Amino acid sequence: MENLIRENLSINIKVIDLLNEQIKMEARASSMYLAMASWCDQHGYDYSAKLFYDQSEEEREHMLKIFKFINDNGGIAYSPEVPKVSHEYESILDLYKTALQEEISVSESIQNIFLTSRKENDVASELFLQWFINEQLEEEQKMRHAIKVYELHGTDTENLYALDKRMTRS
Amino acid sequence: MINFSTSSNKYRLDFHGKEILLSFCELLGFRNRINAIDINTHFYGDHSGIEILPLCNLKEVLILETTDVLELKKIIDTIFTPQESETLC
Repeated sequence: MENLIRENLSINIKVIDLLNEQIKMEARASSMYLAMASWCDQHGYDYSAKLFYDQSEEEREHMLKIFKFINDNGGIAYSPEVPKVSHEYESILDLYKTALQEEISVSESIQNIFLTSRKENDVASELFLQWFINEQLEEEQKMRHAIKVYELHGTDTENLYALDKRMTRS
Repeated sequence: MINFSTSSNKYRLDFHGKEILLSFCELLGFRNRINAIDINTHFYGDHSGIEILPLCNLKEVLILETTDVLELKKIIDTIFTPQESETLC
C-alpha cells in the first residue's frame, strides 16, 4: 500500500497538510493587507495604500503558487476560508508593526514546513520552499524599513504624510 | 480495512460491511475529512456523537459513531505513514 501511495504522490503527505495550512495563512495575509490598504486610503496615506494593495496581491500569488504545487504533485489543495481581519489601527506606525508581525508569523510557518520537508526527505518540497524563504526575508525587511522611518521621523502630522511618499515598494 | 484492487485500479474501503471504491484522489479527500473531525468537538459539540461524511463527489455517505471515527483515523494514519526505510529520494 505504501508504494501505491508513493506512486500517486511526489511529495510527502505531512508536507501537503502543512502546505494546505500555509494556503490559509497566505489568504489571511492577503485579506489583512487589503484591510490595511483600505485604512491607508481612508486616512490619506496614498503611497502606503498602494504598497498594501500590491502586497495583498502578492500574498494571493504566493497562495496560488502553493495551491498549484500541491495539485501538480498528486495532492489536493483546499480553497481556504478567510477569517475576519481587523480594519482598526491606532496609527500608521501601529499598522506597519502589525504587518511586520504578520510577516514574521508567515516566515516562521514557511521555515517549519521547510524543516519538516527535510525531516521527511522530501527534497522537491524543500527546493520549492527555498524561494519562499528568500521572499519572506524581503517582506520582513520592507515592513521593518517602514517602521524605522516612522519611528525616527514620524512625530507630527505633516511629517507623517511626507514620509508616506517614501513608502513605495522596493 | 482499506485494500487496493488492481482490477478496478481503486482503493476498496470495507468498513463494517459497507464497501466503497475510491480513486486515489477520493482517498486523499476521505483522509482529509476524517482528519478534520476534532474529537473534542465531536464529544462536546451539539450533535450527539454522530458524523455524516459525504464521499466520492456525493455518491456515497458514511454515517459514523465515535468508535468508527477513531477506528478510521487509525486506519488512515497507518496507510499514509511510510515505513522507516522508505524515503522520497
